[in-house]
Amino acid sequence: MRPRLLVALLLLLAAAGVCGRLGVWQLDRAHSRSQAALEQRRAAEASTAPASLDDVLAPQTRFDGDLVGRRVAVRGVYSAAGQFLVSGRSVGGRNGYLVLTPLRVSAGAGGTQPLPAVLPVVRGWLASPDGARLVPPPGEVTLTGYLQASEAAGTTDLAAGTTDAISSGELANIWGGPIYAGYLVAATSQPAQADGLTWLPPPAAPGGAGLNLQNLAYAVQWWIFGGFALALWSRLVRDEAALAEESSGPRARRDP
Amino acid sequence: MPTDLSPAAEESRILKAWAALGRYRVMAYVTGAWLLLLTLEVILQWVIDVNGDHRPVIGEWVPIVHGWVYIAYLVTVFLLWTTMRWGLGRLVAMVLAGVVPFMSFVLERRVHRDAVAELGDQVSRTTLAP
Repeated sequence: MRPRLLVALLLLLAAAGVCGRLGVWQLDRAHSRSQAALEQRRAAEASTAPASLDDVLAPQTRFDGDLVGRRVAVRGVYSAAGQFLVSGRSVGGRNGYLVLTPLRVSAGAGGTQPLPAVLPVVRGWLASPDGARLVPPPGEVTLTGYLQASEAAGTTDLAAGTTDAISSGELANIWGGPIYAGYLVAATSQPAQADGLTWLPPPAAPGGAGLNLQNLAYAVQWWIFGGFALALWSRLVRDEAALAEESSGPRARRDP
Repeated sequence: MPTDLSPAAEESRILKAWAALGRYRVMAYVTGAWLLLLTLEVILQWVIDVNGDHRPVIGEWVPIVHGWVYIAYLVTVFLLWTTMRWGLGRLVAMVLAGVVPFMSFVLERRVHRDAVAELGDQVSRTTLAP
């Protein structure tokens, strides 16, 4: 009888393994489907007019996590003198620099700030610094882009014109406040900026796109099926043990 | 079927089996009905493609709920199969019946008939036993 149990164990373990693997597959599908849903939402959002920055975020206020990736439009004037290169940033697997330029935001209807607020703008990425491409468009520009949360303070000396972090707290010391507690990843500029800068992709929300609930439920169900296989085996073992005890006990089996 | 238990234990097993048989009957019907709904949804969504792009027609909840109903069904199947001490073939058939349309209704009748026959048989033998 032992070999039969061993075969059953192997079969049921295999079944449990297959169920476990199917659960993992569904978990992957839960990821990829919610990712697809996110991209669809992004595409739908991109076809509608962006929100005005004034309506979404005020200077010197907390940057809520759900603002990450929000598409906004803003008008203002670049101050070329305050521009930084952010080192050690890769796009498409290539290492390079981000161009970070302060934008003095034009006062909206309710703008009462004595000094125009400054919004850090990532104007794009480039592989190596090149003076001609770095000059921002003069005068008032209209930008659209995506909001991103400020980073922690960097470790480099900002005076050198290069930094390794986009930190509003740090930048406010140099640019002068008031400053927004987040930055803009620019996607379009009117008038256009110099060629040679690569736009950054829209930032992803923290925690990713979440999980598709249907596939998550399927994943759990597959794991429960796997548990059934194991329960079945333990049942077989117990039956076998009971039989063995009986046949060695004083009572003989009454019928076949 | 081996009946090597004391009369009292055997009687309690038979009572358990009757309860398990009732629960199995309920779940066989619920699972069967839900499976028909799921089949309809699959046809509407994947064959006819009512909404285009193979989007859910009746609802995304139909397959999800079927999954959980099926799990509850499997629990009742397992408990019945254990107390009835049937062979593995019958277990496989009952497990399959939850995913083949109409099969659970058909199989439930046969399982019920067999179980009643076996349990009735065992009751009479238990009461006659010393």
